[in-house]
This record gives sequence, C-alpha cells and structure tokens, in this order.
Amino acid sequence: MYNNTGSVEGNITIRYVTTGCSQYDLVLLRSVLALYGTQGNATWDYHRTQDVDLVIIGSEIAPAQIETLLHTKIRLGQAVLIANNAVIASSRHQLFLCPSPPHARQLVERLKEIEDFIRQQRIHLAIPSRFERNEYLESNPIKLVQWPSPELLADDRDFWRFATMLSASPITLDDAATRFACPREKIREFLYELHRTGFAQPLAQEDMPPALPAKPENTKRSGLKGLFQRIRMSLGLQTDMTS
Amino acid sequence: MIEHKILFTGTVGAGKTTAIQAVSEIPPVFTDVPSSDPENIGKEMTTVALDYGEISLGKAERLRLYGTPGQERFSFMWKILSQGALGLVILVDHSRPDPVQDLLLYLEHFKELIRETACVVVISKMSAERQTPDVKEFTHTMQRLGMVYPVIAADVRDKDQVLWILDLLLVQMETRQ
Ligand SMILES: Nc1nc2c(ncn2[C@@H]2O[C@H](COP(=O)(O)OP(=O)(O)OP(=O)(O)O)[C@@H](O)[C@H]2O)c(=O)[nH]1
Ligand SMILES: [Mg+2]
Repeated sequence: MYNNTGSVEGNITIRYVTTGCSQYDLVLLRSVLALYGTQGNATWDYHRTQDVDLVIIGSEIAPAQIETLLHTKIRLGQAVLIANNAVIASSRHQLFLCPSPPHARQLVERLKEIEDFIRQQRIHLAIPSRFERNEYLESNPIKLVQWPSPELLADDRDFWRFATMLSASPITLDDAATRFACPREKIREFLYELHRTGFAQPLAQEDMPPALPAKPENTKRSGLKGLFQRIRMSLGLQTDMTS
Repeated sequence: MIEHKILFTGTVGAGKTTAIQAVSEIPPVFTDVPSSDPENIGKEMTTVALDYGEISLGKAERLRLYGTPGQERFSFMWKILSQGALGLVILVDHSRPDPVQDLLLYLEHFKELIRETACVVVISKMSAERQTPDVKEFTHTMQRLGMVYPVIAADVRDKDQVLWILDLLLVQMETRQ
C-alpha cells in the first residue's frame, strides 16, 4: 500500500460519519459521493461510530455545539467538513469549510482536499510513535500549514526560528539544521510534534511551489547574505544563521 | 550612502513609534503632534507623517526603520513607503474592539510586500484580563487566507522583544534568499 516515497496510492477507503445534516445536505452529499466515488480515487463508507477519518457537520447545528463537538468528540488532527455558515476556528483539527447550503461544486472541491489530506494522514499513521523515524518527513521539504500554537512553541527560541524558516519557504530538516546552530535532534522532535498536531506537513519534491519570482542572481544573493549578517551584527543579534 | 529599510505598520496607538524608538540609534525624528483629533482617536500624540529610526551598518550603509502613520487617511503613504522595503512588521493593538479585523486590513494593504519579502505579526497590548481573541485566532484567520507568518504577542516598550521580532524577520529573509 505504501510506495517508497511514502505516498498512499490507489484506491483508499475513507470512513465518515455525519451529524446535524439536513435532508438537503444528506441528499447532496450522498449523490456527490456516489459520483465522486466512481472516479477511482477513494471509496467513501458511512459509519455510525466516531472512529472515522472524516466527520461531516451539517447546517442544523448551532455554532456553540460545533465548538463543543470539536473539543469533546473529535480527535486531534481528524478531518472535519463543516457545511454550516458558523464561523468556526480550530487549530487542533483540520477543518474544511463549505457554505450552507453547499453547492455541489464546492462540495466536490472540499472532498478532493479531504482525500488528499487523508492520504497524507495515512503516511503519518504508519508511524507508531513520534520517536520512531519517519524517513519521508525527514527527507522532504516541510510546509507550515498554520503558525504553531504558543503551547507548542513554548517560548523556545530554536522552535521559533525553525517555524519561522518554514513559514518563509518549505525546507528540509537537514537544510534547516545546517542553517542555524541548533541540535538537529531537538528540531527533529519539534518537527514530529508539528506534524502530529497538523501544523506542518511534508511536501513531495514535485509539489514544491515554483521558486519565488525574480530570484536575484548569485552575486546579489551573496550580497544580501552579507547585508543580513551586517544587520545582525549592528543589532547585536545571534549571527550563526549560516545559509 | 547605501540605505535599506524595514517597515512598521499598524493601527493608531499600536506601538510603531515605541518599537522604532526602542532600537533606533538616533533620537527619533519626531513627527508626532498633539492629536487635534477630527477622528477622535483618543490619544495625546499621533504620528502624522512617518516615524523614522536608523541603525548604521558601517560607514556608508544604514538601515532605516520607518513607521507608517497609523490613521487610515494616510494610507496613500503606505504604498510609497513599501517600495524597496526588506520586510514588514505589523503591529496589532489587542485592546481595540476588533483586532482580527485590523490585522486583515493591513494584510490586504501590504499583501504584495508581504508575499515578496518577509512579515512578522506582533500582537501588542494583550492584557492578562482580556485574552480573547487569542493568538490562535489570528493565526487561524491568516491560514484561511493562505498566509503563514510568525505571530507573536509582545510588549514593544521592551527593547529585547523588539530585537527578537527583528531577528525573526531576518530569519525569513535569510531563508528566502
Ligand atoms: N501595554 C503596552 N503599551 C504599549 C505597547 N506598545 C506601545 N505602548 C504604549 O502605547 C502608546 C502608543 O504607542 P505609539 O508608539 O505612540 O503608537 P503608534 O503606533 O506610533 O501610534 P500612531 O503614531 O498614532 O499611529 C504609548 O503610550 C506606548 O507607551 C505595548 O506593547 N504594550
Ligand atoms: Mg506613532
């Protein structure tokens, strides 16, 4: 099921449960899934339990109840599709939002995103514990999905710097470790934590965003590097960023 | 003289003048005036043109720190000041009625500069009594716009905290070059 680049290929089964869905939501959802499920990407299986990959929250539920659900019933990192006009935020879950009543096209787009997300999750689920190596995570560029919560950053300056690098551009763990003087092991554990909590995810090399427009040529780049060093010196800041 | 610049922006009273003063080598160029207050901004002094601070990087090179005037009626100056900037610090005054909305305004106004350079979002004046919206609400709002940048709660009256903000801004520039 897992190929050597770690991506989960072929047909996967996605288990989902619904809550607070109106008749209209359900009819639309079922027909979209019936159609979407025939594209050979994923099989969507309805389950009654909470032990599912995806929780779909419909329009017939109050915002406060959604918050409660997120806090009590829904696992960390679990995919949640919300077809409800409530303004909901959660940094602990992967939320996919859709206005209510949903349009079929929007729903298909969200489902595609959810499928991609769940494929990524399966790679991750192949790791029994965060102390076990995840080659894929360690060798691919990491993308920051959202700025990490203060609890994760824990006022540790190495964590802040690492997350800041990721926010600027997807880079690999090794790349980050060689760019500033910080024990690789320490950032590695932090990276696993970011990944586990859904704040960061590995990118396949081919998914790297195109290089920023108009990268300055080499002389200018080394000029900039020198400039940043001079700014650091003048401000009395740590100067061991050695890119 | 070679000159580089970093920009500070944010609502009236968010702490732009204060942040620049904290790290500037020269006495700040005062462009603050008593706010005669047609917009009733509730503040004794306000910056009408721009704040200006400076850090010398050698004999013939310096880093200028510019603070944009906070009042939105000066927003025509924001684009002019953006040109050629190395990066942007957005200060969000947490004590205002809707700080998330304030942030959105600056993210929108400066989106090109942000995309091309670097950006740190600073939540100022967060008090122990009023913690909502919390930092996560800001980061989540940004994520929905596809924007992921450092968000830090800080007191910019403290020089060390301003230096740390500049450090993070530099980390981004260094990673991107
Ligand atoms: N508690 C707290 N007070 C702050 C902070 N930053 C600035 N202040 C205070 O807030 C007031 C306004 O700060 P300024 O630096 O003048 O704000 P500004 O952004 O330059 O405002 P305008 O020039 O009017 O747009 C001053 O009295 C500062 O001492 C902060 O982080 N926490
Ligand atoms: Mg000012």
